[in-house]
Amino acid sequence: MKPVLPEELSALMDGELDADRAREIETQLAANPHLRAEFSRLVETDAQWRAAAATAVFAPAVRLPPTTAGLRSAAIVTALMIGLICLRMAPRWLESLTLVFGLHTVALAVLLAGLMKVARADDSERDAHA
Amino acid sequence: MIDRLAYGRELASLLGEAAAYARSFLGNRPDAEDAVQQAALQAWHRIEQYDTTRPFKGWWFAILRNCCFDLLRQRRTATTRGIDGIDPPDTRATEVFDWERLDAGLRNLSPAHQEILRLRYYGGLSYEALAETLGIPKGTVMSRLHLARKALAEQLRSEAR
Repeated sequence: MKPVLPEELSALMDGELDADRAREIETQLAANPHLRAEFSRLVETDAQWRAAAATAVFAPAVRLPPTTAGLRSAAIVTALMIGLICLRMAPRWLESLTLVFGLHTVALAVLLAGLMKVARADDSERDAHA
Repeated sequence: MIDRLAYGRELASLLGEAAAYARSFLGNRPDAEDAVQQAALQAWHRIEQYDTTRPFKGWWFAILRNCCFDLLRQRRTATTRGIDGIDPPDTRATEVFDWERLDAGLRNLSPAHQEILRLRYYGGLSYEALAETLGIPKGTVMSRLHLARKALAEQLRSEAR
């Protein structure tokens, strides 16, 4: 059996060894009290350092530019609202709702196309700067 | 390639560790927040360049690391400060072993050892992600991390004496 390298003990602790080598080292750990003591020390200090590092964690405020998907959702919501307003304000003589729905569809298409165009132009400009 | 919506989700999952890493690197919270914000934006603009076969966290932390270096350089230019441009906190005032105590030990190690330990403990990076961020093979990550741990343990022991 290959002797255990010191860095392999670290890797075993980190769960970064392949399964076969990990089994081999675990067998040697079970048979060797000195190696076991060294491994225990490693585990103990690692736990202490991880606990200390965790005290530095905080939630930073990060702002990202809006995505085209976000704009698409906004456009759909806006178009739905326009549709609702059209329905509410439609003159009484407008018996058929077909025209209202037609207007609604046109408004939606125009809004979507416009917003997508703006968003794409914005993305390209930012990518060019990056 | 991942889209920008997916990027936002991936980013949200690593912000806490990113902030901790940047705070340890830069020594204070406002600069850490700036670095994380800059890295988040830079990665957002470069998301098309991300290769999905490689670890996202390693790719993103490489950007964050560069932002931290840039901020540190700007700060050094702006003013002359202590070693490494960081004001060392007064760690003797407290017996609690928190990140400031850990950092005090880290600051006396070689830059390569500081770097790998920060990424591992504050960033929580796997060996694969460490290899990606530092641009070194995984085998080197394993040996460097072990040596860095040994050096830090010795450093903390000598501080305690």
